[in-house]
Amino acid sequence: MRKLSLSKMDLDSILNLSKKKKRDIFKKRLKELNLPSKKSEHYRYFDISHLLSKPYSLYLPIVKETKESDELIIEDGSIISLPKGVKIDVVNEIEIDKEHFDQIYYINHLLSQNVIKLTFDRDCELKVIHRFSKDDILLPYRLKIDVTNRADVKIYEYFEDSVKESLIFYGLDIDIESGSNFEWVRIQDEFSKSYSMVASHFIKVRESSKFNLKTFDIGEGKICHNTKIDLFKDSKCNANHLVYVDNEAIRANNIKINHKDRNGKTNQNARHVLKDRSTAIFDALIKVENSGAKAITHQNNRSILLNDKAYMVSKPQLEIYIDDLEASHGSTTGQIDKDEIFYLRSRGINEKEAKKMIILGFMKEIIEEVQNEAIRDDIMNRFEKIYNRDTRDLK
Amino acid sequence: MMLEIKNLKNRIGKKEILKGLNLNLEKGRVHAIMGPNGAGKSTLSKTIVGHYDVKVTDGDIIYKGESIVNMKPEDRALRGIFMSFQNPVEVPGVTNAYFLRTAVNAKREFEGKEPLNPAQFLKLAREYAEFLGIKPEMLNRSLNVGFSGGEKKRNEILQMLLLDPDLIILDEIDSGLDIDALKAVSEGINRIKSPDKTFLIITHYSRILEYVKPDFIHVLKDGRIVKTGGYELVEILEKEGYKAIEEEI
Repeated sequence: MRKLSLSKMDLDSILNLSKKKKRDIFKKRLKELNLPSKKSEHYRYFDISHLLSKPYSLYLPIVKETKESDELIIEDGSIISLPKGVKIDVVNEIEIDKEHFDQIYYINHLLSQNVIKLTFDRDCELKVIHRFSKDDILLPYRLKIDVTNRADVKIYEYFEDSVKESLIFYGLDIDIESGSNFEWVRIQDEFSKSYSMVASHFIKVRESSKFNLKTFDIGEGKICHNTKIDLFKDSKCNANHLVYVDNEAIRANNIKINHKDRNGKTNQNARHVLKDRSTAIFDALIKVENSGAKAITHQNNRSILLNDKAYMVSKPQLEIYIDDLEASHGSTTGQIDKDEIFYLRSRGINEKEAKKMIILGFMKEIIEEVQNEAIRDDIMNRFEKIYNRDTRDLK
Repeated sequence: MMLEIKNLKNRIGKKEILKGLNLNLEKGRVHAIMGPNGAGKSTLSKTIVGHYDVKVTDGDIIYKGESIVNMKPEDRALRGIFMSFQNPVEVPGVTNAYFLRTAVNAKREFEGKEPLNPAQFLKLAREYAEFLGIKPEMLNRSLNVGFSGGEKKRNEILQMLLLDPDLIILDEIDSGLDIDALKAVSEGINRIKSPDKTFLIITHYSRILEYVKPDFIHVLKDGRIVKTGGYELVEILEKEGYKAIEEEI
């Protein structure tokens, strides 16, 4: 298999990697955005150039025979098992967002010759497991999710792997039809240290529909999620993010939420705990356009640094073009509150245990937003496990 | 003697607060400390429990015959020293019940006793909560988060009852309490009073002392105990203020 290094390729060479016939929109948009580099604001602290400079074998997923299981399992971009009753197609082309801020969104669409399309027209809870098994590959793949017919759908997404040095381009295009609800719970934990991922998502939240995003980033790895969410009339978006990273991890959540029509509501809450030499990036913009009157939008990030070398980039931003709205945003970054530690110690709880209780409590507030009890307990256990891994260096 | 404080000097930051304080707290007695603002009352209680703000520069604190000046706060607590906080901190995400059980079991482990399981603990906690007029659902809420001033103070007394300490320091437990809350808090204190326990009540006002009668009143001024007497001292201070003491000095 021929090795390629995307950073050494020009736009035309990248376009030629694609078998898609209609490439004009990709070409136009990539020309406008330029190829991904540190110059792009969302890659300023996430070293995309380094990732793209490595030579990878391009691996394009193929359609495989599937077996029945309780979960939807996707291995190296191909479905290998799926539950009964889930409507899945593999399609060549889907409608893409023409205003996405991330270049990888377009490059991934270009390279993904097939898109896994899931259509939900009734209430459903589904566990999706992504597995990666191949070393040194560039794996591009995407999912398309349509939620229709006022359905209430919850997806719990997990990532597992045992690969080395692979780069995954992944992403979701989600269309939530009027009156429907979609909850996306993404859990990306310590297994993720052996691959790097750049994921670009686009979510269209149509009139009177609701979108809940709950992301849990745990452990190591170099992973960047670039998410664009468009909100239409009377729609709601609740976004909760919890990040606990250690060692040399770099985890980025770049999110842009656009209020495109009246009466949209956004509530975004992020919590970060950083240890060792890890870096976390929370670059979140909520934009209320001229057409977005009566918007209600609140955004907050709180971060705790457990070590001097940990690095938090916190950029909660509001971009507002109207007066008729309710909006707030805030961000705090610091160490564990000394008074909280002392209060617990003054009751006979030792310092190590006190810090653990405070940190797990800090994270629990976000975890408790997950309604499914089994998933919630599983997430709590994962955070507890990683916290207990090593607490020697806590300040 | 429960506690002996000998020539205690300390500072917070660069400021010297206690300037050679001597004080003996007898076992089974209720001591009250009164004094004007800035006299060092709260610093004294912080020093006894080992607060990180306070740097002891001279003197000693002997608790049950053992020096505690260099002891960690948790080790002091496990040996039976308890302070109710003037402004109890809020700890989001840590439920009151989980915190209380962890604290109770830490002490039980220190004393070589079996830990209480959740059911045993809840039975005990509910009984004390009911006695103090604390709603049972408050046990499941995050520690002190969204509690009113009165609820926080009652919660401090609940901790005191559950931990069953020997030296109990009540730092302005009566501030911001309405009459019902003050009664509930006082009943909690009176419930635990015994010949084995010593109280140190730090207060600005005589209100709490009407419910929990002190054996000794100590007046703290400018980092030193300047007068010790009986309950009659409260009446003098109430009538004439700290000026009366100043004139005596």
